[in-house]
Amino acid sequence: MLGKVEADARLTRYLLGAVSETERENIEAEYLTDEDVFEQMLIAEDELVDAYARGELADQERKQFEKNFLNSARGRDRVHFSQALAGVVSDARSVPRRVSPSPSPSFFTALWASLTPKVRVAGVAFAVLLITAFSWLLVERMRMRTELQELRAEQVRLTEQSKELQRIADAERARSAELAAQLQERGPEPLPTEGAIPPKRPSEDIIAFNISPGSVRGSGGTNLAVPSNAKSIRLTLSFERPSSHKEYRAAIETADGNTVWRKDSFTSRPNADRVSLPSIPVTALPPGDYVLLLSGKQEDGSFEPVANYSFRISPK
Amino acid sequence: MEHFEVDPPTSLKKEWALTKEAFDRLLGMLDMDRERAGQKYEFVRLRLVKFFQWSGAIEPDVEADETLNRVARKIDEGANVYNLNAYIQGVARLVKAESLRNPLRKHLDIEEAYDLAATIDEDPDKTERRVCLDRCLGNLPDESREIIITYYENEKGIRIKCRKQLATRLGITPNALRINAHRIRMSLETCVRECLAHCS
Repeated sequence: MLGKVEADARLTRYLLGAVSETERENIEAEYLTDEDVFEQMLIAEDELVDAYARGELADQERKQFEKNFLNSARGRDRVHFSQALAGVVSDARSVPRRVSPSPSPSFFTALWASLTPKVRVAGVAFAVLLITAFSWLLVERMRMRTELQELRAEQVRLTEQSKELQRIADAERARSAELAAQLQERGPEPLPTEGAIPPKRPSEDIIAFNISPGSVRGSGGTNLAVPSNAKSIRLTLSFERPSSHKEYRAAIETADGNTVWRKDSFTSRPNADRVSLPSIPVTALPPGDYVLLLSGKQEDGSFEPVANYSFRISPK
Repeated sequence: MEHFEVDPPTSLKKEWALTKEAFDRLLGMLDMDRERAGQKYEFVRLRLVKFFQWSGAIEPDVEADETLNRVARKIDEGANVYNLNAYIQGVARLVKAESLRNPLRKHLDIEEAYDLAATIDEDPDKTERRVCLDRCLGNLPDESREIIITYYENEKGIRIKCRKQLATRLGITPNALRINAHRIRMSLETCVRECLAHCS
């Protein structure tokens, strides 16, 4: 089996009439029966004619060519065509783009051209896989980056909240210290006794009372003398024993059973021995006899009676 | 300009003339489909023309036609032809042998060859050929035009390198490019030949 270069050289020798009679018959038998060999013959003829037209044949080859090709009009026509084609290409070469050899293909282009179809398919599949993995990583990275930004924002928010709470605590501490100082200046005050207690500072509009349970309705109960300038009453209710409730509700009724004030929900620390009601407007409690019904909230959400407090409001 | 012309070899002229029926039988043996048979006939004829041209015939077309006429005659006369290609090949060798023996067949001697070589640059149809070539090149698809020009440009030293680069750029082997360029060139030559025939 001849190599490509040797096979081409053999065909060229045949075209130049430089083969033995036996080899000539062999080559003729090949190209008259095999289309591929015939096409290779035609290509070899193209190249020989071109080489002659461009003056690229060696002296001996040129003489052989002239003897074998120029004796037919067809052969001379081929040479004329080749000369014309060389002229056209030469003119085209004057265009800058075609003057120099085309730029060297990139490493990857050359590599691609050298691969077999199977390797190319595998390469494309690998590239697709790589792109998919890279895209997934990119999306994942973006997601994590967003989460990180959210966490940082949350951290900043919490820090600011912490600072605000610290600031409030500092202010409260300062106020407490100021109040303590004021109390120290004024000296110790007597503990409030059952019944009327002096109105608490700083507001003179609020009158506070501490009352105990008992005193059935109609008995009059604890007398609460309300100054005329008081705007509201603050009641602290004592228990006979500590209460486990955390939430309470209270209602104040007149002697004849009309509810004049109520509070559905207020809280106290558990196991306390007293509970303070929200302020009650004085206008809600004109002079007269009243009963305060205190209920505590149970685990199931229902309320149970805790204690009743009877008292009488009278002007001071 | 001296033209080298020779009369057709008279010894090859036969009294028998090709009839339509004989030609149809020959086509029928090439292929049952009439169109495909015509294409095969043209291909067989081209091979014979080249066979005679490369054998040094002065008028290879005449000898190729003579070969095909004889084959058609034999078939028309009822010859048993089992392998048509082999049969045509045999007849072609016979015609070539007759041609070589014919004293009227004129072979170039070395002096005549030199005379022809001296005038080969004087193409009588040079201007028309160039016009036709430009026109035919213009009719080629862009890619084919790019291939044919790039394939044949540059001097011998760098032409091989350029052709390898072109093959790489097209993603084909150098041999595939060689075949591709040859086919484009063949179509271009046919176009120019037809164009020149139209001009004359």
